[in-house]
Amino acid sequence: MTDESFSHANEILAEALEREPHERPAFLRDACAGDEKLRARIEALIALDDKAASFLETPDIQATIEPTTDAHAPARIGRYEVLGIIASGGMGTVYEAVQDHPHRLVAIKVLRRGAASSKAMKRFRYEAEILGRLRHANIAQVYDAGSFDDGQGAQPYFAMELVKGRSLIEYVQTKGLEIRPRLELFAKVCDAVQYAHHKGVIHRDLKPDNILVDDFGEPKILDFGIARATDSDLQITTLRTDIGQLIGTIPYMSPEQVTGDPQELDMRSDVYSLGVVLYELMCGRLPHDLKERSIPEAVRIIREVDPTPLSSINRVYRGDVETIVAKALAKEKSRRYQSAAELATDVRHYLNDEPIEARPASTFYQLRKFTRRNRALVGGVVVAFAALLLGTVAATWQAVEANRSEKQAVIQAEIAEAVNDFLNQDLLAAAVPSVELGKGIDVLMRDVLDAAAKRIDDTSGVGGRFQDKPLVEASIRQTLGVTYRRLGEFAAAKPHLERARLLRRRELGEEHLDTVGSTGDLAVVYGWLGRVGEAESLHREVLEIRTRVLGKEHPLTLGTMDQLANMYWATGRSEESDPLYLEVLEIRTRVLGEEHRSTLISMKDVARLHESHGRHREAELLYVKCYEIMKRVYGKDDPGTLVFMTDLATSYADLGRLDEAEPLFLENIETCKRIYGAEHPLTLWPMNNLAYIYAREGQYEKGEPLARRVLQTYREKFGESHGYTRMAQDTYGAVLLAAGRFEEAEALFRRVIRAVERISGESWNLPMIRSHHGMSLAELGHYQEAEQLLLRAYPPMQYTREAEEIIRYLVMIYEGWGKPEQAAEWRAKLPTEQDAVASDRPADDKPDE
Amino acid sequence: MRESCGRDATKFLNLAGFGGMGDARSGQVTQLLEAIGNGHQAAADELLPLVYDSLRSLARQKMASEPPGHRCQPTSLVHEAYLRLVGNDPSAAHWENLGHFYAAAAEAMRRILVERARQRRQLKHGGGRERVPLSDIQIELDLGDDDLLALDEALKHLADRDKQMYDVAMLRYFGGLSVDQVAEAMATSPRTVDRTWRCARIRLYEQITGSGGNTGP
Repeated sequence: MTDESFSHANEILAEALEREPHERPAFLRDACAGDEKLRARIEALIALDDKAASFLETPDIQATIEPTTDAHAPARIGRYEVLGIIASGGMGTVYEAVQDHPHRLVAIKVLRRGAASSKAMKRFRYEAEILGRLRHANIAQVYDAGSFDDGQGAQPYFAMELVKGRSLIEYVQTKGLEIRPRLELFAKVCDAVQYAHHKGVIHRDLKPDNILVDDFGEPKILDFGIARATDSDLQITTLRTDIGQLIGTIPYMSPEQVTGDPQELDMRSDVYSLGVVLYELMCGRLPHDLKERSIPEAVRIIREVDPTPLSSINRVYRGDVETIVAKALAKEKSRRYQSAAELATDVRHYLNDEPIEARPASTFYQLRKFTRRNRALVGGVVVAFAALLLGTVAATWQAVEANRSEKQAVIQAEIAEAVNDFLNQDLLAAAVPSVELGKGIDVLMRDVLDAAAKRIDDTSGVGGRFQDKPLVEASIRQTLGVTYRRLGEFAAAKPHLERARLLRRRELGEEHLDTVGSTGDLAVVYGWLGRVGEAESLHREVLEIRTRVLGKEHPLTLGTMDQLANMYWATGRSEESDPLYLEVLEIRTRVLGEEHRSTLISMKDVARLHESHGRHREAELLYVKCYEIMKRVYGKDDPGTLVFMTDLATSYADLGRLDEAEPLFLENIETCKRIYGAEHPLTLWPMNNLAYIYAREGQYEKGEPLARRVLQTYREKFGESHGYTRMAQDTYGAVLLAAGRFEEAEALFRRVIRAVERISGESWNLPMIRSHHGMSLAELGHYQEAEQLLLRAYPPMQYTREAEEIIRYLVMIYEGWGKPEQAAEWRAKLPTEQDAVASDRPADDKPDE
Repeated sequence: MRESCGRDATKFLNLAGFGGMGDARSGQVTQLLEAIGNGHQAAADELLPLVYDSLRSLARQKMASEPPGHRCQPTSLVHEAYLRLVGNDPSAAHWENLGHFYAAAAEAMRRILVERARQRRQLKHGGGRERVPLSDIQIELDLGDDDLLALDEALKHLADRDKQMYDVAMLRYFGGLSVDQVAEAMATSPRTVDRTWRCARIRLYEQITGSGGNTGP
């Protein structure tokens, strides 16, 4: 018997089994094609199907664990005489017992958990004491707690009020109660829960089985706080309980509870469980059908999936009841009723036909829900959307607030509706196909934004849906623009920000803060696009208005000062940028403190300022300081931390400490790639710096591929004339120089310098590019032009690591020309061994220009 | 020119659930799952003992916390082991990883049960005590010990003849996965799984009982 014949037989067998019994003979005749032996064999196998099925029935995951009767019920537990077993389950066994003084029947819950340590016992007693203080008509009273030894070690037990009744759901169903009495009963339960909360006790395991109703219709809540009292190790609460019980309990657990973080649990977790109970009371079903689910699936559903709205099960609940239930069942604690009392109050409002407090979910909330619902589907993209969506709504809201009028409510509704439509029809509709194609996050964002941008362009003209809602259009455009900018897509950002600014100027006026905000964002984009003149004038305009309207210490004003300083610095105007940087740092440290993100950014700017003046030690200390604070306060994956890491690595390299710089760079690049993708500016910046450093150290084989990739990406994303592209060209040129490809390098540097001079006149990195150009010319023997360039580049470069190289080239030129005096003069400037690296130079050691 | 970093860090939420509930081996398990996913079969051999230990200790814990005579379903143990070992690691939620995990868990569960059945049989044959010592694991199948050991043998036989049938049988029976879950774990259709399972069941039963005129393919 070969495996082939085995497989063949199995195929026929499988086919046959899928057919109805009466069809099988005919099928087998055909399939076996005259092989009678095979046919008989398969028929014999088919005959085994039923027996095989019952023999190898898959163990049923949902199988509930049947309470077993413990034949060994102890005669006494502590001072109680045991009468019998009431129930036995996962947590232990409950006995009916009698107490002598006072003479009463009690329920004794013995918790089977192996031998408890004395520490656990101590805690158990402490918790029991707290529970003993709960005295409420609707809470089963805990009388006593202790431990007894049944031969398997100390078993903790509770003695509590013996409640005879039926579970809440069973009670209302057998009594056939109407909605109203059900709600009244429920409100009572809420009152009792509120009482316990007030005493600092959270139930943690509220479910109908723990809420009994006695013959008088009075509810009694059992097991208050038992879940906690019996847990020595909260971390594994859920694991320790029996899986069967866990499955019974999971539908009542709040999202934070299934997450398993005990720190997250609070009174509002009970509110959620009450919400589930209410849901079940109203429609006889659980909010989520978890029966066929594995635990991880169940957890995911509780955390992410909204329950079926009550009204879709029964129209009767449309409106208030549904709203109340939905609020109690909100995934986020902060969205729920903040206490059981609030929940009870709303239920009673409804019973009294008064307006309820809960509101149907707002647009704002719907958006957040949408992103949560789809997070699993589109992962990071949707998280990124969340920022986008919230930005839109918030901005729109501000515009409305600022534009108060009698029509406010109408405008609000319009805006909400328009924004909602836009999100659902444009953004999200665009997301789905991209997600299905399995594209990367960056591409996804781009696709989605492009689709949204196209839609808004198509519909914003005359007769379009934003025609009479210019502020809505402005908000959405603003959001699109800023999002494009964050993705590094400056050319795409520009038209949206321009349009947003235009609309806001028209609708809100020149000096309205929203208008100013659009202007500021646009200025940043102009700067990135290399349109320095326009950027500067817009920044100045923004700074003037903000200083006047908001004051100098306002974060927005300071932000503009920052942007302007960056502008100046980038165009090589350090005498204008430096005082601004210092002032901003001073104000931020004073107003916001040292750990604030903005203060840290200022600190880093000032570090760079020190560096450019040759104060390397101060610079390094500041770089290290702000990097460490950033990492500690905001985490190591934070974009700010990543930028600071780049700066620190660069600073190490500039100090000649390559052993420290290189691994830091590599880690930096890896992290940025992982989080932001290979083409993000945050990633390209350290790649560029590292490539340049490799070139400077003569390791052109390592530098070349890196530099080429950076240049290519910048070109594609920013265009030929952007400052970053120029910088990357310089880096690539430096690699060529290091590789001895002087003609190519020379031509490249010449082109770059010409282009930069034409566009922005001067730039922070022009001296560097000039020095490189000079070096390549010197190598080619064009001493005259080389000398000019190197002499021009030297003063602003004299404190950089490149200075030494410039000097060596000048010495070479003068020696080649036969000018030994000048050669000696320059040679004297070469650093000695001691101050070669990391020297602290006096701050006032200014270059003579 | 730079832009000051005003962009907030995007925090990704833990989607896998039960964050904070995993044990110290969680990261290791995820790494092993990744490795298996990348084709390093040797990682499967490393994974197995981890899962095996976890299942055993879970079973012991249960034993200590349940009333005597209580039975716990093997499949629920597998689910718990999953939660404990990888449940708090979002990357583990990937279906391929789940598939590898369940395969390992099923194998571990089978070994535990077989080991236990052997032990019990020895005890019985030794004629000594009737009850298995307390430290043993109280997990029960509907199968008797002899049947279980026969099933074990039959599975070995099946593994040699048809790997797919064997995988389906393992995941369905010892892994406790539903047809849909098996389909997901094996990247195939539920219909195929259903067909295969039905055949596998018959083949195993035939092998164990020697019925069905076991004389042909």
